[in-house]
Amino acid sequence: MSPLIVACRCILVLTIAALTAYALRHHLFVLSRLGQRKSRDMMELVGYVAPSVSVLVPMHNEENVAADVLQALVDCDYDWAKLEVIAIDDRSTDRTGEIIDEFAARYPVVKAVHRKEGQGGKPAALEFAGAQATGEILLLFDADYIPGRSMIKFLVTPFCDPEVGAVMGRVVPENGGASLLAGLLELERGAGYQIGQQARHTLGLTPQFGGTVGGVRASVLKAVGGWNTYSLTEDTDLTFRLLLHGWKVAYVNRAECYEEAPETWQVRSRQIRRWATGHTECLHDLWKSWLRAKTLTTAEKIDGLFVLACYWTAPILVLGWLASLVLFFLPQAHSSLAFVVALSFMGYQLFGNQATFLELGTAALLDGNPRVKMLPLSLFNFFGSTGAICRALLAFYLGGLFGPGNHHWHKTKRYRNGNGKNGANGHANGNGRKNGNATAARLLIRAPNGIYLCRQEANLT
Amino acid sequence: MRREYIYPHRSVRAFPVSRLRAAAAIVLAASLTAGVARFAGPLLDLHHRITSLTIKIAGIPAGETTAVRVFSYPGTVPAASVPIPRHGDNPWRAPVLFFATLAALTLVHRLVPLARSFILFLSVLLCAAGLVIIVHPMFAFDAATYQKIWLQGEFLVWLLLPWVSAFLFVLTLPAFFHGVAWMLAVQAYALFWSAVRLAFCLGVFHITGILYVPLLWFCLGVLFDLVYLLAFYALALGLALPRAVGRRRS
Repeated sequence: MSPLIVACRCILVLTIAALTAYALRHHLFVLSRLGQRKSRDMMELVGYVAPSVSVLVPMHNEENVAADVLQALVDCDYDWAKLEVIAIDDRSTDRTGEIIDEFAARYPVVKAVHRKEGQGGKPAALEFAGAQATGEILLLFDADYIPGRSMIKFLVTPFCDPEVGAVMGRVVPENGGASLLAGLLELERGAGYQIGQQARHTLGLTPQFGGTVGGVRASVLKAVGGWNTYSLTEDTDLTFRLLLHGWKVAYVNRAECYEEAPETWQVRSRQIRRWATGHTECLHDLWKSWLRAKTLTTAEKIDGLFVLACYWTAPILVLGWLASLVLFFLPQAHSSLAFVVALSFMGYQLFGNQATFLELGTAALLDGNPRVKMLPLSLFNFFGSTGAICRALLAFYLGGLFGPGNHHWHKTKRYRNGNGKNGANGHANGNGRKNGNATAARLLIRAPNGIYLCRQEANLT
Repeated sequence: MRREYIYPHRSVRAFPVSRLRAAAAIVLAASLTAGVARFAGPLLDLHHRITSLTIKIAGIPAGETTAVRVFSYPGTVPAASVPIPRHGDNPWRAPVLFFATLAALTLVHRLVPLARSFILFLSVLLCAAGLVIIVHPMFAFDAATYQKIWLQGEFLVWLLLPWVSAFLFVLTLPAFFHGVAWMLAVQAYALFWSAVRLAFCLGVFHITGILYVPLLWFCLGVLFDLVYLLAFYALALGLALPRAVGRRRS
């Protein structure tokens, strides 16, 4: 047997093993989420007093959305005596600073912080503003997010468990109807939170703090060394440092917050490349201490490695596909049963990993999301993400060999035009976009209980 | 009062998989797999009949039926015999088709950003075939070899499919019997659709030669197995949503 055939088969075996492991994990999560019946004795609530909260909202050129998020936050039903909203104008060159100042003048609960110079990126802005925060709990929201009325209460509640160091809420795209990609990302986010995060929380694994729609204890953040201002995924970095120090991360599925998903592939590609680079960086930085940690269970360690290495599956997958392509053209390889078995498994695993789609479908079923009919089109998203991740990791590893690599923080593009009315009754903004046409399709409607509902959800009520 | 849904977004709280349902799913999957294995010969024969009929309807000249050996079990099965021209028979055909296809792919690549990685994937398959033709002009891929590879892959898919379907349909859909119906429908469709796709591939090869062999095998073969499975899954979930929403409103 030629060395080429042997090499190709080895790559195939590696690919199948890696992807099957991830597939089994997805199946476990789906079963866990479907059968979720968790009883609690609530004893941690005894003597619990709602803590003081600082909400940090970093904004870099966010004039389109700044008013929406700040209005939603001041409308929240958390006791103002224990609340401060720190709106961070992070070196903005547009009207963001003015909008923040207007809100600070109007609402005493809003504190305007202007950062005119210094290192770029969200972690640096958080590090800067965090020093001025007085709350026991620091909650974070990106500027394009719209928290519901009870959001702060939902996010603060898990901290009644003294072992919880950070908490994460659920991110729901509100612009799923804006483009095909946004719709597909709505399905993807549903799977990630409704199934993945919830199952990891229920199974006692490692739910991830996502850097927005979440919070961390101020004292704990300080104890683990603060924000890593050099990381492209400071949220992943913080999650793993918290867990390494023995803290738990909690996930609250009902703490639902609305975001703008990328509407064009260019924006999405840039976003996923940043995530892939930052995540892989964390893997390199933390895997040794993660495996040696005494505070973690074996299941947590395994799941943590799955999370950290998740972006490696893309290049592994491409390698496996290239190996099967080479074998396809070698007639002497066709006679072997192993080749056919490998190719068949590749068929299932390579082009989609149906377990991922099972997660997407199950999440849509639980949420009652009619966009589930778009599920087969997710293959395009899958192919696109695979390509983008491979590109990012290639740059990451080649950058590591030949230089410092790509460490630019790219801000995700916003589509909404803000007026403090959370997508409703808008006017044309500087870019000429109007609420009432493209934006109208994704109006948020405020229900009598103060919760923002997407149009589709509101129609159900 | 206990709520079925999670406030505020009204997600259904859970669809617990009962042990009975899990056991039924396993029994169903095992029975279907055993059925496919037991009746492999007749199933592959039926597959061949559908392929041959489709080829005949399409007006593609087919020779006498040949036999290919899929696995040691079920042994040799009938296969359609369709002539596939070699590159040497018409040296201009492959370059013209290659550049025309590449131009079309480039156009789609520019127009549809979301499909760019997929187009890249197709381009690599096309270029790989082009490279093989340049390096080894007499390279041949006859219909029997193609059908052998196709049937080996598809037969294994048919064996695996019940287990995947059991998870996708029987375990996760709210209505058990709907799940069973979908599972059986997917299994039947897998056989029928595989035969039609194979006939299409053979027809294309008969007209164009071997340039599209890898492209069609990777796309219409393994990838399409996933596509129709996802299409069925999406349809089943879409139809199941009102039932789930009913629970959500309760």
